[in-house]
Amino acid sequence: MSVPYRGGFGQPSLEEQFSARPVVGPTLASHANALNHLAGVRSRKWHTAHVGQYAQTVVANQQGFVSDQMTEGVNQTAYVLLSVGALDTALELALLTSSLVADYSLTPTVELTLQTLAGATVDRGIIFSRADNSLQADVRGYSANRYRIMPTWSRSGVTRRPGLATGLVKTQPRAIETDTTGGSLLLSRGLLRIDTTSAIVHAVAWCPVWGETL
Amino acid sequence: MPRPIPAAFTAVDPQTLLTGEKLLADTLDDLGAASNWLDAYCERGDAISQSWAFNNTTGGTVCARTTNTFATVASWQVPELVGATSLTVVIAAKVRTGPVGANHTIEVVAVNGGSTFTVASGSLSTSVQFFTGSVNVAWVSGYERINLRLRGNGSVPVEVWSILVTYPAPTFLPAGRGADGRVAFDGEFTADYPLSARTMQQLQDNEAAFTARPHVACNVSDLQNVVTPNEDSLPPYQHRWACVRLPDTERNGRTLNARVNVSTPLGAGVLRFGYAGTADLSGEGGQVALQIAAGKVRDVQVLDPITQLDVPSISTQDLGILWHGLSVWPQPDPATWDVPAGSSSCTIHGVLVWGWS
Repeated sequence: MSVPYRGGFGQPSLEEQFSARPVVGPTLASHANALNHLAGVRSRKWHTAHVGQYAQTVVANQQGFVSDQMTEGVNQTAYVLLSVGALDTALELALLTSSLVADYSLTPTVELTLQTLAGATVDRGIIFSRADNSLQADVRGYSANRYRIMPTWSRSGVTRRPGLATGLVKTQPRAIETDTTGGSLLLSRGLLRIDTTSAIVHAVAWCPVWGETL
Repeated sequence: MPRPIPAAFTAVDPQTLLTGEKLLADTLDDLGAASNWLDAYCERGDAISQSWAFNNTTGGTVCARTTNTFATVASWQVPELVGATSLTVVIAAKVRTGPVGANHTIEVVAVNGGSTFTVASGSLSTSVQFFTGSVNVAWVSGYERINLRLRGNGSVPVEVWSILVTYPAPTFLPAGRGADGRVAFDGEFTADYPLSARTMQQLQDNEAAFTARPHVACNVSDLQNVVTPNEDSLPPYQHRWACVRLPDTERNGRTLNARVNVSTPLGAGVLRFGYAGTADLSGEGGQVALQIAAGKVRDVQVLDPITQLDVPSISTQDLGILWHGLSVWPQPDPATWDVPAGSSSCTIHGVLVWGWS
């Protein structure tokens, strides 16, 4: 049985529960709604992990934007640790990255994989790339052959494809599964591994795919 | 077992409680079970999650220390979860290249609690490993401070790839009323007990207590005393984070609390904190500006509570929940570069943003 829950929190009034009054069904139903909201919304885990980078020491690269010198041919790996809630069976991810645009010579990509801390692959992962326009960029030229880059969010979306999570290859962006035949991270902690090509990652945010019922 | 924590949450269908349905003890028992489950798991999430990227050009992460003495490299504040006496810590770390020296050590220190989780050299290797422990905490003025301390061996750096600090779930529920007003149920709803006003009040108080737990949106620290110089502030480009906005935000006045660690080495400045839209400070969202006096050195500025705006978000999901941006943008040297609109004229060392759940 699936039970709908509400995005907003509400309780029955205190007066409904005074001892001089009989307890009636709607009062108890309001408590059920409140508890379902608390489980469905406020027990979920969401957070943004900041990813630290080497500071630029060249004055020309400290102009208020990310310089192309920071992304050109730079490959990175970031390990992001996260908690997963009991009901968070899928996560929407947002990546804050800097990379160059399509007309540049490089082909930036960012790959993500979800693992247990013991190394088991829970979700094979997804790839953000310029080829399918899933890796966003905001590049502003300011002089010949030099580019200013604004860190920009790229989203995985909330579409769930559980069958792809345990496939042989990474797929285009989709919601990441946290409970698969490869392992379960429910009520546990996991590792989001990020590998970039010609891109730097500044932050990763995760948010449960809420759904509408419990 | 008294005051049991159910293994899973069982949603109570409100339809089964409405007038016209039989009031069954089994159904009411589910209310108590749900409350106990929430007592254990509601809003016990991540207080700190920060990572430092491995860079193939430099061959390591920037959170690295070679010097053969302990030093604090990063520091965060964590808001109080009433009743919590410890925090769980997970560290991903390694020694950059071999051999592992006898002095390579990592410490996570709870400053107020006077408690330390230590990863000793015998546990470290030249591959990234995960280390889990805990620190005992003491809340002072609503916060605990967590420091990450490193010690190298004088020749090879020890480096941290990421740190996670979470509010742990309890293994049992204590008897009696907690400091936050909640009380774990212990069979009050089971068959043959009368439904009392006390039980209803208990349920009401528990729900209120669960909504008053902190949820940290982001928690960021710069680095000091590491191998690479000039890491002791956020670099001059726009830093963005994401934050959930619930649909009852306006009705309940849910606000965000932002604490920003700043310095003003060049004289008085302005801290500008963006908090809505897609985290672009171009004007589509809101912004808090705070005048910072000259002479501040790693001073934690407490912004006025921020009411989240109902604006276009990074993502909209079911239930009317929005996911929008937060940002700060340290400005570049104004003597050399044009100052981007919306940037802050002060040095920014760290950012904590949290709200009551």
